[in-house]
Amino acid sequence: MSTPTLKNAFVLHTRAYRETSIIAELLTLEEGRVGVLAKGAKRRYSTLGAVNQQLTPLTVAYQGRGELQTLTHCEVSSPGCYFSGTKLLSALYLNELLMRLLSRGDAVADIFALYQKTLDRIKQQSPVANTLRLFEKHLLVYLGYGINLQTDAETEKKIVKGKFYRYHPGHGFVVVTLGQASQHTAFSGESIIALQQENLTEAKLLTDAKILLRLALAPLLGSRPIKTRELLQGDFHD
Amino acid sequence: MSLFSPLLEQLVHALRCLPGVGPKSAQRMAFHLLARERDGGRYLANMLQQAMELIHRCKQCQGFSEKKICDLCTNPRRDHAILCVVESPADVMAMEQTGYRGLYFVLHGHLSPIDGIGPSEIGLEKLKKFLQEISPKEIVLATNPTVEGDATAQYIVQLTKPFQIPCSRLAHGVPIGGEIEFVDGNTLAHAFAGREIVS
Repeated sequence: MSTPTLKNAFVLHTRAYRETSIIAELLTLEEGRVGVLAKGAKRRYSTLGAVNQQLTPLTVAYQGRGELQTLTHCEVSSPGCYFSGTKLLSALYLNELLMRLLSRGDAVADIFALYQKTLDRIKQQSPVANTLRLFEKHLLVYLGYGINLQTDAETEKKIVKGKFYRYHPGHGFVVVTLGQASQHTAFSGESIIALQQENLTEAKLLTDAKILLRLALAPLLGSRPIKTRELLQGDFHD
Repeated sequence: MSLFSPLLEQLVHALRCLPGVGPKSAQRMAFHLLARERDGGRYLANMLQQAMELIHRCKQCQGFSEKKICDLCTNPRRDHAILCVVESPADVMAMEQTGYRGLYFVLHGHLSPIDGIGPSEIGLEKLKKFLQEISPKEIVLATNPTVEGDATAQYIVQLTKPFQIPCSRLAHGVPIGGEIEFVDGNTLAHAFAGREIVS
């Protein structure tokens, strides 16, 4: 019998299955999101207990042919990862976004790296709003829905400071006159360029980036709200 | 065509609503009750009937009770200055083993954003009301040491800030009788961070 290869993974979500088993959704480097069944993982002496540890880098092995693989090995690969407070809720926000936007079998190695990097940044940096915005921006790019932050979608002219643009999801930015800009949500050239250069240093730039990214994510997420946003309440503004 | 009479079929089907009872076990239970345990069966039916009609959630702690406010909450010998928040009624039983004699609040779950379970689904508004009524001196957050349990505890900390009541969290550590070599890395890291000076 061949030994299954060990893979790096994070647990995005778990749910109980029968008395002592767990069905977990993993984010793996090679295969993207994978659903696994951890048999008996809730038993006291189970070797798969680590499947309960979200936000922690794990080494896993699984096998099987169907949609749901069977987990055969699971251990923490680098312990000591611990989140608390707003950072914990922010990290859960990443999980919720990925669970909603990523289907099983979408293998995107970049998303694994992005997730890992974002978790590290959440741990090390405060406040977290900036980190979350960059995660959303890159996630959209990797999923194939990246926002064109460079040019006007109609005129194809470069986006410049001092002008205002309206964002049409799925289409892009269109320049508007100042009068129109004051009536609806329009984004200043400064805000768009700041997001493009990932230089969200001021509160106004961060708020604009948040509104813009929500607009871009909305059609992908559908009508069901993101619950973690409710939990974070005011914390998203810090 | 079914092998059993319709009523027997229905009984087997009804028994399957219990956790961990599949078709085979349900069939075995039904035959056992009918063949050997008629009185026990009647008693069970009667008890189920009564319990389902009469047992509701306690207005204060949200634990199960047939009284409006349960005995745990009204017992004058319990310490009303300390409140322990747990995820399930089974956790109340577990906490009782520790010798804790304060009050409880049962959440009946934990925050789980991905499953659509938010603050309102686990009765946090009721917790707030309960806190206003009893204004305890300490809140012990005894939710499970999982990411969701931690998130729930964290949310309660935020929620109770205006009350200015100190919140504590159960410690994480090496199980008694366990061996350090086999303890999971994260648990050990927690235990290390929360180490105590002994001399």
